[in-house]
Amino acid sequence: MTIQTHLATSVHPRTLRFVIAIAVPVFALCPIPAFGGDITAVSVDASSRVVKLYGAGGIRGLESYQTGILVSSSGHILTVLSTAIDSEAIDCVLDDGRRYTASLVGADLRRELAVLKIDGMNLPYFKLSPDAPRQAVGTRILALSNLFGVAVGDERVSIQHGVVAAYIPLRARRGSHEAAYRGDVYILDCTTNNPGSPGGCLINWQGDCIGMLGKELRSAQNATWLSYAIPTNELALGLQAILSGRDDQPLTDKRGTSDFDLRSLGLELVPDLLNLTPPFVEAIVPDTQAAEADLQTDDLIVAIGNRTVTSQRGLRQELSYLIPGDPIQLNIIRNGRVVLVDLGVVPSDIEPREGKAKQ
Amino acid sequence: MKGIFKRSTSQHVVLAVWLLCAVIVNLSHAAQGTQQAPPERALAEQTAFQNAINGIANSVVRIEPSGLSVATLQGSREATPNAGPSSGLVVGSDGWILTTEFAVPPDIQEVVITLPPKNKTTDKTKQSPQRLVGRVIGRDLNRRLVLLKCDPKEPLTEPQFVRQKNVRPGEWAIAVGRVWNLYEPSVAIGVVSAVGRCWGRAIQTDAAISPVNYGGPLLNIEGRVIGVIAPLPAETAGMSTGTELYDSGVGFAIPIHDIIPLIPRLKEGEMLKPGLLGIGYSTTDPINGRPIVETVRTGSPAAKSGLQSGDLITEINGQSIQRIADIRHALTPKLAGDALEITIKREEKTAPLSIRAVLTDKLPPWKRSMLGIVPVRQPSKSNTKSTTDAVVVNWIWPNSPAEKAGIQSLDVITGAAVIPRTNEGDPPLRPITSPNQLAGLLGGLTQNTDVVLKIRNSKTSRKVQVTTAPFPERPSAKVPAFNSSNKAVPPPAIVKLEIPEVAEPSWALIPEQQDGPPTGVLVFFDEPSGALTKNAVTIWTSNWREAVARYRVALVLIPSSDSSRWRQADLERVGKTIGALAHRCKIDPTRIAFAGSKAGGTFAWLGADRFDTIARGVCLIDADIPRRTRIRRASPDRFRWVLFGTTNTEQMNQEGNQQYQKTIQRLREAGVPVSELPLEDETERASRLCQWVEALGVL
Repeated sequence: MTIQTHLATSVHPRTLRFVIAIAVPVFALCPIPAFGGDITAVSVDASSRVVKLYGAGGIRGLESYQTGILVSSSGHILTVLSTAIDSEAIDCVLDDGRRYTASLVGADLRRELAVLKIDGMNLPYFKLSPDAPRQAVGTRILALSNLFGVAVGDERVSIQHGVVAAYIPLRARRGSHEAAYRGDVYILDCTTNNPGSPGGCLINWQGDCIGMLGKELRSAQNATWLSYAIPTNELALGLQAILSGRDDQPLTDKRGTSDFDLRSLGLELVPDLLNLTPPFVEAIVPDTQAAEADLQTDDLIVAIGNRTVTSQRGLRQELSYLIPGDPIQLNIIRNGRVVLVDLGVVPSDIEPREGKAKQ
Repeated sequence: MKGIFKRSTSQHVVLAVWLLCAVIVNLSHAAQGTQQAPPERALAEQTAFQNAINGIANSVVRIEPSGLSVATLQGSREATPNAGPSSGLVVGSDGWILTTEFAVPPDIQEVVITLPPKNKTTDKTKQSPQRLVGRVIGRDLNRRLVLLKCDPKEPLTEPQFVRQKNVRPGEWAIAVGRVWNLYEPSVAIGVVSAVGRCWGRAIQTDAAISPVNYGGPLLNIEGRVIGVIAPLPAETAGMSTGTELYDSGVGFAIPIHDIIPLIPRLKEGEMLKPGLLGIGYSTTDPINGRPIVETVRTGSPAAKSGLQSGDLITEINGQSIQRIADIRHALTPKLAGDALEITIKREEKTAPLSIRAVLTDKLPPWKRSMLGIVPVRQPSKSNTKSTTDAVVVNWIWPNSPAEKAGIQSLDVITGAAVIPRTNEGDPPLRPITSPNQLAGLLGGLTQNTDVVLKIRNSKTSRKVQVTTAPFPERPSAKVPAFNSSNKAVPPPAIVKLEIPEVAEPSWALIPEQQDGPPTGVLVFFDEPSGALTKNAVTIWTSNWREAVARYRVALVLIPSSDSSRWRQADLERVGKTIGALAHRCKIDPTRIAFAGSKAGGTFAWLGADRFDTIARGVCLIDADIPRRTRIRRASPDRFRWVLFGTTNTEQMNQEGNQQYQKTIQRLREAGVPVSELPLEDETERASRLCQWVEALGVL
C-alpha cells in the first residue's frame, strides 16, 4: 500500500488535517498526490477538486443541490447552470469539510455552464484545456458527484465507474426538458442521471478530468434516460467565455423553421386536401434530382431519414427540420414493398424563415 | 483513535518524505492532476475493451422501422410508427442479419438496415453509410430472434464466435450496439451475471442493456461473440415484454452456440416455435415437486409417445431430472419439431423405459371432460395421511357415464388407465391412491376418451370401461347433503382470520364437527364496505348457516380496505387468508371457489385470475368480468368453472345482460365451462353456491 493511501485510509481525517495544518499551510491545500497509481489514489486525488454545492430550488421537484469542479487555485468553480444555483447564497463544501459561500461569476447559456467563486487560496484544481483530446469509446471512466446528496460534510463525493459508451451530438428529447447545448457529449454506460449529479466530474483512470456530468435528460431517439457528460474541451471554452465576459448565446436552432420543399427537387405530391392526406407522389419533373433517383408516380413516402410520416402535414413538419447539407433519404412504398431512395443533400440556398423559431 | 504523533520513527520519516514530495508535486503538477502510471491491469482491460469494439464494429448494424406496416398495406394508409432504432449482428457475409423482435415486431416484414461505414471515420460530412431494405426471412419465437436478409454491394464482415461453449459467470461481458452513432458502435461493459437463465435460454449480464443494443452482440474480453442481446421477459418478476428491464442491471443474451445450429433453418424461412409436450403435474411447486407426470393431454406429443399418468421422469436427452423445474429447464429451450428422449420409471420394480416424443407448436384444443364420479373429500396431502389408500365414490352425477356404467356410491376405485386411441390392448392399470391422482389422470382428457377403472365394492372387484363425456356447465341440483341423517347438525361458528400485516381481519363461517370430512371453501367478496364487525358478519351470514353446515363449505368474507372500492392490495391477502383458514379447519383444495356480488363479483374474477392455481370456480353475481380482459384458453393446470349469477332476472334481461352474454360466449370459445344461475332467493343462493362448491370435485 502506498503512503498516501495509507494515510488517507488509516488516519482519521481530522487528525490528518490537524497535522497538515500545523506543518506548512500550503501543504494543507495541496492535493494528495497519487504515487502508486491505483484507482483509489486516482479518485481520491480527483475528489479533492470536486465540491458539493447547495443552493436554492427544491421546488417543483427540482433538486437544490449539485456538484462543481474547482478550476482555479483561487476558488473558481465550474458547474452546470441550473435552478439549484439560482440563489443569493450558494453553499460550497470541499472534500475536507471546509464550507464557503460561493457567488455567481457568470453563465454560459450556450453550454449551460456557470462559474462560481469562493474565497480560497492554493486550492487543488483541474486545469481545463480547449485542446483536451477526445476519449475513445470503451475508455474506462470514474464519475465523481454529489449523487443524491449522500456525501455530507467532509465526506468525499460518490464514485461510479463505467466506460464511455458513445460520443454523439446531444439530441435530447424535443419537449419540456430540452437542452440548449447542442455539441458533442460522452454517453456513459453507468447511470449518472441522478439528483445531485449535474456538475459532477468525469475522469479517466489516469486521473484526467475528461468531462462534466450533465442534466437529467431523456433521449429523443429512443426515450431512454441519458447519462451524459460534456467533454473537457467544451468546458474550457465555456470557462474562457465566462471569465472573459464574452456572452456566448445559445446557438439558434434553425431546425424546425426551414421552408424546404420536395418540389424544388422535382417531386409533386397529390393535392393536400384532407387532414391526413397521404404523401403519394403525383408527378416527377424530368431531369431533376427526383427523376434521377428513380422516384415514380404513385410512390408513397412513409419515412424520411428515420422519422416515420403518415401524412403530408407530417412530411412538411419533418422537412422543416432539415438544414442545408442534411441527407434526404426517403422510404417509399412501391407495389407493397419498401424502397429506399437517396435524394442527395439539402441544397445550401434554402433559407430558414425568420421569426418562426419553434420550441 | 491513534494520533499520528504516536507513530514509530520510521513512520515519521515516511511522513517527512511524503511532505517533501507533496511540495514538489504541488509546485509542478498541482493544476494538472497527477500523471501517474495508472494501474496496468485496468488499462490492459481498457485496451481489450477497445480492441473488442474495433474488432466487431463492421459486424454491427443499425435496424430502423421502414414505416411500412400491415396497416399501410391494407389500405388504411396510416403507417404505424413502431419501436425506435435498435441493433443487429451480421451472421452471413452475403447479407444475413440477426436481430430481435423488438426491432421487427410480428406484423413487420421489412425494416431499414444501415451498414457500418466502410472506413472508420467520425467525419460526418463524408457520404452517409449505406442503407438497405432488410426483409424478414425467419423468426425464432422462442428466443425472440429475427433473421433478416439484405443485398449488400460488398460482402459484410462476419464476426468471430467464441470457441468454447461454456460461458462462465463473472467473466467480462461487452455489450455492443449501433444506435447512438452510425459511425462507431456504442458499448456497455459488465460481467456475465449468470448462465442458463429464462429456463435455459439466456446468459444474464449486468452490462447496461436497452433498445440501443438489443440485437447487438455480447462479447467476451477477447472480442468474440458469446451471445446476441435480446429482450427476454423475466417471467418470475411478472414481466412480459422483456423491455421493462432496461438499465436495471439485468440484461439477457441468447448464447451464440444455441443460435448457430438454428441459422440454416431460419435461412430456409422457418418460423421456429416453442416446443410443447402436453404434460401436467400434481403440484404447482416446481422446486420441491417430484417430476411425476400426472396429466397427459389427449392428442399431445406426450400422449402419442405413450407417456402415462404416474410416470416418473428421470432423464431428458441425457440430462438428469430431479424435480419439476429440471423438466422446465430441459423443455423451454426446445422448439416444435425437436425430439426428446425421455427416460421414465413406470413401476418401482421394472427397468427404466425410454420414450421418444416429438414436440409440437400447438396442442390440440382441450375442453374438460368428466366421468361423473364425485369422490369422498380428502384433505390436502400435507395435512393428514390419507385415511384410505384409494378413491371412495361419494355420489354419482346424474345421467353421467359413470352412472350408466353402474358405478355407485361407496364403490372404491383402486386403479385406472387411459385406453390409447391406437388400441393396443389393455394398458397396465395405474394404482390409484387418492382423488388427486385420479383427477390428474383424467384431467388432460377430452371427451370420448376411453378409460378403464378398477372398482371394488363390498362384494366384488371388477374392471369397468367408461367413456368421458363433456363437462357439465350447470351445477347439479341433486347434490347430497352431509349429515343427512336425523342427527342434529351442530351450528357453524364464526371465526376471525387475522393476517399479521393486514389491519382489517377477514371472517369465516365454518362448519363444526372438526373430525368430519374436510370443508370446501367459498371466498366471498361483497360490495366494498370497509372493515367488518362480528355483529355485521353474524347478520350477513344468517342465511348461510344451514347451507354451510349441510354441504360443509367454509364461507370466507374478506373486507375491502377502502370502504368505497376494492383495491389491488386486497387481492394479495386472499392467498394468506385461505392459509389462515387452513389452520382453523381441514380444507379440500379441490373445492375452493371465489364469488362476489356486483363490484365484488368483478373483483372475484380478478382474484381467481391472480390465484389461478387455487380457485377452481368463480361466480359473478350481477357482475361481468373487467372490460378488455384477455381470456386465456382453458388448460388442465388452471381449470376453472365460471357461473354468472343473477338476482333480478327481469332487470338482467334488459340492458347489461348483453355484455355478460358476450363474455359467456368468449369463455365457451376458450373451452371454459360456464353457465348462468338464477339466484333470486337469498337462502336458495346460499345452498346453490354451496352445492356448486361440492360439485367442483366431480371427476
